[in-house]
Amino acid sequence: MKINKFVLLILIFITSLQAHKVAGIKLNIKDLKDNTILITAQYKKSKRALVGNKVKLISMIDNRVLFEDKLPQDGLIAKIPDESYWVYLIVRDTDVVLEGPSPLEGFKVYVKKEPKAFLYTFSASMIFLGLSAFLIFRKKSKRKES
Amino acid sequence: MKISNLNQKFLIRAHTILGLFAIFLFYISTYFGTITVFLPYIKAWENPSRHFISSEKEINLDSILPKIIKEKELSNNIEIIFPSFRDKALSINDETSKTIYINPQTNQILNTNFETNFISKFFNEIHIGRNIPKIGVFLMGVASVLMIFLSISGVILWVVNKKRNRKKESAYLKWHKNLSLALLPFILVFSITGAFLGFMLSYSSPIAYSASKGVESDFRKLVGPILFPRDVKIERSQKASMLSFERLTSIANTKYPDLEIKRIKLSKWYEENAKIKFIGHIKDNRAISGRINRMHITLSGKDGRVLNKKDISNANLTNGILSTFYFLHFIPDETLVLRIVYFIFGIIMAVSLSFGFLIYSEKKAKKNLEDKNYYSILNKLAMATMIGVIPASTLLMFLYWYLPFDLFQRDIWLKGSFYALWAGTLFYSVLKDSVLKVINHLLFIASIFLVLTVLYHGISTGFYPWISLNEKLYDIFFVDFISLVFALVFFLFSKKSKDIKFFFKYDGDRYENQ
Repeated sequence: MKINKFVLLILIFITSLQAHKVAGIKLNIKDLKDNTILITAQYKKSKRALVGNKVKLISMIDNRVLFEDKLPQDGLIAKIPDESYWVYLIVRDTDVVLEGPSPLEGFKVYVKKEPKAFLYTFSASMIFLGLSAFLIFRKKSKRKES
Repeated sequence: MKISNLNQKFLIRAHTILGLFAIFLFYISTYFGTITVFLPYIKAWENPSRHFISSEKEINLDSILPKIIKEKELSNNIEIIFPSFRDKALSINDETSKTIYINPQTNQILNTNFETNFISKFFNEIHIGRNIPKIGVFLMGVASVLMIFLSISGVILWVVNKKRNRKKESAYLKWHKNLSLALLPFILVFSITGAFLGFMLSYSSPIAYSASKGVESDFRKLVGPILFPRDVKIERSQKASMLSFERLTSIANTKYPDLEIKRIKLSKWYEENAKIKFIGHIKDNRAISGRINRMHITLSGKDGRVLNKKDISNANLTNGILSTFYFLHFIPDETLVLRIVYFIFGIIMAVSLSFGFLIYSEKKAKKNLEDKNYYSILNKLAMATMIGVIPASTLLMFLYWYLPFDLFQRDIWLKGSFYALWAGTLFYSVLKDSVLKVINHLLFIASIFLVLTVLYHGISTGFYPWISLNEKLYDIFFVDFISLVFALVFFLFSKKSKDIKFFFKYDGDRYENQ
């Protein structure tokens, strides 16, 4: 019985904790440097542009919808809002999200929402796994001594 | 049936080793699969917008649909799904926009802003192994293939040993054998469909390659167009007025009386070439016209001519077989009774799997009877996977209602805490030596989380169990009720288990064998 137990362990616990990504679709935001942005989206494989999907600019501060429109054939031009915001692209019931670029003179209201969830929960899991591995190792070596 | 001693030894060895490899994955799959048997009910329970009584009355599409199409600027290929026990709301969407859900009683659009079916989706993901990136689904597929081998070798071993072995066998062996044999058809159906879905569909490139004489190696690309033909693209045409939905539905009903309409698809609506497709299952044969073999009838939107019709006689035979096969796995159109039967079977299967592991573990412990410091990592790992997953999944359900719905990165917090607690249970079971104590503590925690789940579901939505019972929201009440029942079972077990004779041997620092 030589199954590598730690390989099994890692297989069971590893996971991808990434939300807000639709496989196969790319959202592009281009800063036009005149306080507007050009939003386009395309299928990764066929490079065909998405048309008719809704684009929303959503405030990071209170989740207000700052701007919304449908994607035309050659991209959507939107004015950059005064506060930190996300760009949402709606693809049926999922969405692709990117952080929007700031205007030339910077945001008037600025918040930085750091993605802490993954870091905290992942490190908690790893600490538990590390401690278990340590304890197992200690008990095993004790057995060898006796 | 006769088999030489040596071969029998090999078979037992293979059964043990492959079993050990498959059991962890298959137990997880069984555990979450058993929960997802109640998927439609969990979906109604986890979405506050669905906390209303399902309506029996006929839906008048003519009063709803034209308004919504105009307001939301829906374009091509509009799909309308009628309320069913799977979802009480009427849903409307097109190729690009978010699905619109409508309460069929009041015709109001439901607010589904923060509703993503998180719990049911996540449990389903773990069930098929998609939570492990890249290789997860493949691993679950391999586990299913191994399960087929284990079932067959198990039956052979049973047949061979039936006469020869009359001495007393251990309780675990006895029950592992009895339960697995009783559930053999159930286990086989699930392992074969599981192997097909997880393994064969994605990893059969050699077969596809040789069958297509070296042209194509993707199995899906070969069978897809035959089994699931796409709708023909319709050219743009002039504007035209459409017949009313009531009229079209009655035409469809007279031309295809057996069809139980589940959804409608509109293509190029309000144009000359507009088509309306009524899709559903056959009234007295739900198995053969399951989710992947729906029957349909297509009418012209302008004058109601029949353009196309699919019934059992012109459906692809493979589709029918596949549909029946899938039906046994997904039971798509069945309501509560069959689901409860599957649920009980699932629990029995999980128990049988864990007994299989315990046979191995006991044998190994017996061999090391002399060794005072005997310590098995695999036992601890099994404990964390099999028992530890219970508090972890109940924590997820509790946090789902406890955390505010507009929390930043809510999904990741939920998933992350699930894994963190799961890892924590491994640490706890490594730390503590008494097996029974660990089980008791973990189940006690799980029962607390379950009670808190029901409580916070009440606080967050206002629907406490007694309120949902009073207002006849039976599906919501049902999930709360089952949670409370399991909370009670876990609580009683954690309090009483040390008095049960069967568990005496686990109540100490190590295995004490009889």
